[in-house]
Amino acid sequence: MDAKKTYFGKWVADAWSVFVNELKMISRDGGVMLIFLFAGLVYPPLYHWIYSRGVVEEMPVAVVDLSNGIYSRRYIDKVDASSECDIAFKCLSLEEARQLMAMGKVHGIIFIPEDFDERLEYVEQGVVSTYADMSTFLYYKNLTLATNLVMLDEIHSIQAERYAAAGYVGQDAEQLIEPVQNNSFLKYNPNISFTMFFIYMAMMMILQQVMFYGSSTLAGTLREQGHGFLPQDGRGMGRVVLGRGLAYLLIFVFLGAYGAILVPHLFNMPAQCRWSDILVLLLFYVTDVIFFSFTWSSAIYKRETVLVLLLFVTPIAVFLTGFTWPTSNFPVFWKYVSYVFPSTFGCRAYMTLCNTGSLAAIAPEIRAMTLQTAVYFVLASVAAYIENRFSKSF
Amino acid sequence: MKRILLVIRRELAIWTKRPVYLLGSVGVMALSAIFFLTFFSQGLPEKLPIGVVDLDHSSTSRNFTQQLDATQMGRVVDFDDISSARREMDAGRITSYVIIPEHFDADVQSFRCPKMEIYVNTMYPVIGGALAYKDIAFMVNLTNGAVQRQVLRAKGVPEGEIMARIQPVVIDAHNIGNSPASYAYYLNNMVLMCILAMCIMLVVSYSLASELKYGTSKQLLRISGDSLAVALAGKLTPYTLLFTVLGFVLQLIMFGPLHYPLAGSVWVMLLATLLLVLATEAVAVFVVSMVPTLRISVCISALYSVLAFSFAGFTLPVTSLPAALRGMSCIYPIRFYYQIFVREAYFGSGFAGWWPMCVCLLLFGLLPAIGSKRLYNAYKYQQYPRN
Repeated sequence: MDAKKTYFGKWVADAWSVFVNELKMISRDGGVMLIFLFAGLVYPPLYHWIYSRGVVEEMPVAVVDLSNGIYSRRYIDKVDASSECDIAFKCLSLEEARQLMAMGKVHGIIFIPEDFDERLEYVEQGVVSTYADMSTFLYYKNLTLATNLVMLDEIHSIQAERYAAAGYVGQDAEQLIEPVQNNSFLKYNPNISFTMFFIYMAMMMILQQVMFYGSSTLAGTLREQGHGFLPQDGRGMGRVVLGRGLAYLLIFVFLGAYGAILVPHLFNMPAQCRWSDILVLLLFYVTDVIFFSFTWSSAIYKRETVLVLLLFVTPIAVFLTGFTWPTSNFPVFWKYVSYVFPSTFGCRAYMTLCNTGSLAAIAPEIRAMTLQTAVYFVLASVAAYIENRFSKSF
Repeated sequence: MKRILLVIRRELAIWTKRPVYLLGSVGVMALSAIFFLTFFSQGLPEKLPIGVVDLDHSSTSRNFTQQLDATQMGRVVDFDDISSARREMDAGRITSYVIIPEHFDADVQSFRCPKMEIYVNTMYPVIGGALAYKDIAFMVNLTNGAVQRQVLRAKGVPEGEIMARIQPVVIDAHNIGNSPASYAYYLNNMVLMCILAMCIMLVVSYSLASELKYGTSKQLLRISGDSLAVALAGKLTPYTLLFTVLGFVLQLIMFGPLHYPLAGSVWVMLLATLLLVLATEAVAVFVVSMVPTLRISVCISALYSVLAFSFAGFTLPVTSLPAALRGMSCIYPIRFYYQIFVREAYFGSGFAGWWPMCVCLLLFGLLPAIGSKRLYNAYKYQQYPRN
């Protein structure tokens, strides 16, 4: 029967049997199913849920107002009115406020010295001291934002009052106060919410890590049982790599569409692009991730060790996407290391795609992923070939 | 006591035979420490790329661009037209861009209030966009100040009064616990301790459950005189020592040669590390006793540990979680470690500040008791599937 098949026919039949076999093995393996189902299906909505608010609102702040005049009270009222801060305590001394902060009751202190109003009346500079709880940068951001915006507003009001006293009103005063004006457009994420950075990154990262740990666990199982992936006649690492790849492609395009299209849609995450564009990105990304996983899983010889030894790579890959620390400021060595991971390009591409809505904008990332795919395909094939030769020599 | 020593010796022999234990603890922590301690070494991002579209080409606009370029935070990238700047920003290659309008110089001189437009990509890595925006807004304000200064000088306002007129209110900001607002100080201690907790979960559950997979648990019980408590004490002692030492070394590196800020005592941080190690081991024992199968318990430990980064509360405060999820943070020992860390390292609050968290961490020690019978049976009869 086999003899009648052409080389091509045999090739397809082999690839098909590897494909079916891989799906069977995945579905029979409890550990792998747990990783795929729990991490692949539960994590995306869970992360959306965890970060659904993403900002701190009405952060409790203590105020020490020793001046207690018109200006100081107006300043405090304006801070209280902001959505970032809530004046929770009015303290009589800085020491009292510090203790509240050390006990975690407030996350910021605004201190207004005795001479604040007096200095402003005498046309001198009034100083407001702020003390931020740095335990989370979101606290720091809130206090800085609220106190600075109120400061700018106050500068405006006070200058307007003074120019009015000097006889300048209306447009004349306006021209003097702000000779250069500016319009600011904070695009895509106007309240600088943590959610937006994290979610886009997390959705792509989950795909990569789930694929890597899942397929490595399987590879480890097979090697523990003493055989590799190759069909018995031992020929053709290309069809094995492709056949296995197809099996995962089937699963991960589904998981990807679920995590990157359906779940964000249900949680009302902004996506300026069509869902078909995301699907195109997913095809490139998932293919890349599959060959990436095949390559690196060649080194796994025991099934459970992959999680024990390599789970710590997840937080590192997360930071290498540049989602908190800008890529332009990576130390050079780590910049090159980041090129190892498909997620570096995938996360950035997904974020850009959702924000700008065009595939053209992510062309460089797509190109990088294609190159990566090619390199990893070759590496994975070579690894399969070497393993095969090696195991036959016994 | 003698039996415990026997079990310890047996465990150490396993370490030498199978490298996964030492690689999974010392190797992983060493690599993580190298990564995080070097990755954030800059502290605060500098020289962020800021686009400038100068449509005026006057001395004033060039002066503005140069000043912006000279700030520590910014690095100017020049663009000829708006659309290319827009494209670069959308692709995330620049943080933001400013448009300096035509006739800018002339308009400033004649008080026609030209308008600069600032576009910021706030999706640029968390603080990148916000910092660049702050930088540009600062420069715009300085420009305003310079123009005002000229006017006020011309009007004969005394030099000392000019600054007070330009900026009547100033803010003197203090950042408690991390005065340079450094990312390294902010993240490294917590991220590394989270990874340490992750290693403990994985290695300890791997070690306990592999007794079942490789069918050695009966022999273990025999050595320990059929007592699970002795077996666990013997097995966990080397891990407790190993992870505590690893944690201590990390703390000492950060607070020692790297000079991370520490308001309180380093001894408290070491105590917190010890308690974190013990509490996390207790959780790992609990997981294995509930699911006495190697592959599943290691998977569960992994899935549990990854969420610790979100629930510890150092990225998003626990109070900002949805109400239904806030309680989840209590099942993570790292959450209480974080609270001790903040109280001691940032505020130096002393015993009064952190003792409740220590009690919480100690309470985790009760967890193994819940599943001890189950784990004993699993070890004794090996009635669960090995794979």
